[in-house]
Amino acid sequence: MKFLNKIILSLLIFSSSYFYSQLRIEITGGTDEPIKVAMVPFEWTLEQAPPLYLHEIVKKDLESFAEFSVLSPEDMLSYPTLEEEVSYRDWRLLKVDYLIVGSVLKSETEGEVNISYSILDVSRQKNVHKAIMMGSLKSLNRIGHNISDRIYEKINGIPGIFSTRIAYVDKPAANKESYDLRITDINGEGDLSLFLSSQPILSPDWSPDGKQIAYVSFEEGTSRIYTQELSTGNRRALKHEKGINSSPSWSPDGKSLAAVLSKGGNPDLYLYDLKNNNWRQLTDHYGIDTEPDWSPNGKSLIFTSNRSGSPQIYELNVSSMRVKRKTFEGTYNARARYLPDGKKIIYVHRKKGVFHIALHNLKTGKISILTDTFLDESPSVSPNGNVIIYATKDKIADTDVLAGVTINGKTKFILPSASGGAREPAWSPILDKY
Amino acid sequence: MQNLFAGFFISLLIHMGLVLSLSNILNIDLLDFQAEYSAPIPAYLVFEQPASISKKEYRRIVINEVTPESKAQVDINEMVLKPSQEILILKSKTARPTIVKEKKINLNEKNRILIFSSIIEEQIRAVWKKPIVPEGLSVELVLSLVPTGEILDVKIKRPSGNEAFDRSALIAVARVNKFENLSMSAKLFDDNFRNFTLIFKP
Amino acid sequence: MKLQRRFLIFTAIVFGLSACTSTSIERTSDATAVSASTTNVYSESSLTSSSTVYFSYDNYNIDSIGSDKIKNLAAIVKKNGLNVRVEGHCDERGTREYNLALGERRANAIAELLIINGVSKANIMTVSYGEEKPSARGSNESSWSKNRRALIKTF
Repeated sequence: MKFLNKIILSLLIFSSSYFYSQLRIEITGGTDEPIKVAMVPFEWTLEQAPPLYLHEIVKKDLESFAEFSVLSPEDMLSYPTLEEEVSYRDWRLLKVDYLIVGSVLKSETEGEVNISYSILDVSRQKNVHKAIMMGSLKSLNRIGHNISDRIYEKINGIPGIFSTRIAYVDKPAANKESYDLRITDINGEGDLSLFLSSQPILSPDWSPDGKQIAYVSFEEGTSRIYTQELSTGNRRALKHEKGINSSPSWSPDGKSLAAVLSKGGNPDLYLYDLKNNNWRQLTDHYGIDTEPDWSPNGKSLIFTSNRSGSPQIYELNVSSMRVKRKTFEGTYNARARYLPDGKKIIYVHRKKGVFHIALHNLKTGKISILTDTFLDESPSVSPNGNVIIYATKDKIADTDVLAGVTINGKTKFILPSASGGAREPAWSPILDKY
Repeated sequence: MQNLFAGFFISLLIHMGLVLSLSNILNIDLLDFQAEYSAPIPAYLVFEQPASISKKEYRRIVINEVTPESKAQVDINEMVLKPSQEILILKSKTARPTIVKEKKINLNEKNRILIFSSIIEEQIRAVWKKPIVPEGLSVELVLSLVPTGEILDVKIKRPSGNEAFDRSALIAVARVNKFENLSMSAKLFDDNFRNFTLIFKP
Repeated sequence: MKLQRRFLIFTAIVFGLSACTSTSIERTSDATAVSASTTNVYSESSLTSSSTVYFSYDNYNIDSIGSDKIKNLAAIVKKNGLNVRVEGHCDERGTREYNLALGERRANAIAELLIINGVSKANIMTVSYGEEKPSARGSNESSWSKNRRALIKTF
């Protein structure tokens, strides 16, 4: 009997160990403390000092959304530039999570530098990432942002956005007849004009490969959609139809543009085939349908429609052509944009007469207001889904400015504009993917 | 994965049938195999007791997963630890104390497992810095401890697919290095805490 | 925001990215983005007259002052065989593209009234500028009321 008992027991143990027989403890949510990064000044062997040293560029980037706490060089106990020189005890004392050491060395080739750096995990005394790069001294800033992107992705698990750009329309407060489509790096460097006109320009939208921008220009006295190649400046006008031609949104495969035409008597959504240069109607309603945005998987479009009496957000399934209302709170919800995961959207939401940017979880229906500035509009999401840039008004100075907020609502910032007329920001996709 | 679940389920059924029929033939009383639950326990650890030596301990305890807000804060001082009593009191910050009755279970041991699990959980939570990462990830680590609470070894049992997230869990464990306040009987330690699984969810 | 006119595109190639520790060697290169320019096709050199009709917020109904204006204008247009261009405008509140649609409704309302008063449909052209061409600056009702308008231009 005892023998049989043992057999039964061993069978039971066998079957349960198949799954789990161990104690399981679940950890949900950790400490709120930010990850602490130490960026040790990089070794620099060139004669002349740059405007900003590489480690300063990276430090500035990593600090920009207040996601990390970055240790100041003054607070460091040692200044290693190689992994072998690191005394981990020093950094553990300073409660540093990640340590970055590196060097910028003079190259044999004139005007070039050799860069190497390591990301070290202080707690486990391990090398997380090591890279050696060669580059032109002139592009030190770009290299710096690229390194910031790598560090960000290694630590945070989502892509960094320090090499991305923002397209925007600049209309100087002082000049009524100047509309300027511009692009800038997100840190404000490399700002340049793409297209200048005396007539309105609106709704810039990046192609998924980041090589072209679609926008609306009134240069012919009426709205028309154009695409422009960044590297050549070549413009292409889409086939014009009577009435409004506006609100382009590049499809994720890059082959077509969703846009708005009012040739049927009222604004409806259409699809423009970039290869065959023709329009195909997507929605047909006597109300206003406008502001389409493609879902990241290319299966649906969200858009604004006043078919219920007030502007609300709807979703159109492109294969079934079924339309579903998505917003029910408030009497003004417009210009929605998907987040990269396709599960959440952001849009302009009016509450008690005030316009703010709202984040809306499509699954749970949870809505949170992210901004508290005045007349907020044109929200655009960073390609990693973590930051939103939008246009707002500086009420006191009476200027148009761009502002930003992280998706958790914790960090807010304003991007001052020299002309006082920055508007309609459009965040680029990830451009320099390594 | 589906095959594994199905396979496990079938194997479980066969084994249970085997046990029950054999117990019938051999006239072994397996009534206390079943446990009764009167209410979900507001704790957020999930564990399953392995089938062990004594037949009295055949049971399956599943403690409902709850949201972080209603996490139970087990206070050792508040615990009533009388082996004879069939009552377990958990004190929670948000939820009111819940009384859970379970029949014929050695509650003393379960109490202790809960307490020590929660001690471990608190110490990990205090040092775990979550990266941003996409939603819905989870990583499972297997920890090996020595009776003093020191972590001998940690391995990734099931990675999340996100390197940064997995690393953050490993860092949290490395930062703890040694669990404090884990003084328990050698048997309790060997049965439950020598090797256990930690699941990290954002 | 405006710092440099120069623009650099940075390209990088990575070799041997492995799971945990990785070493990569890259090279960077520079390129520039190019600005485009155009001449505006539309000009107002042959404009003969321009009149303005104002609207209330989120509305495209024409009030009695406006409809009287259009009645008079329609008579002049018919008499002289002029072409009409109607421009719809909005105030800055609300999103730009939605306002572009609202501006078109205002322009269409004017065009309809012109047709009712005998102007041929073929002689009318409508365009909406939404909130892109405000006539008054400032974020207050006095500016907003000046910007919610339709311009009727004759050629």
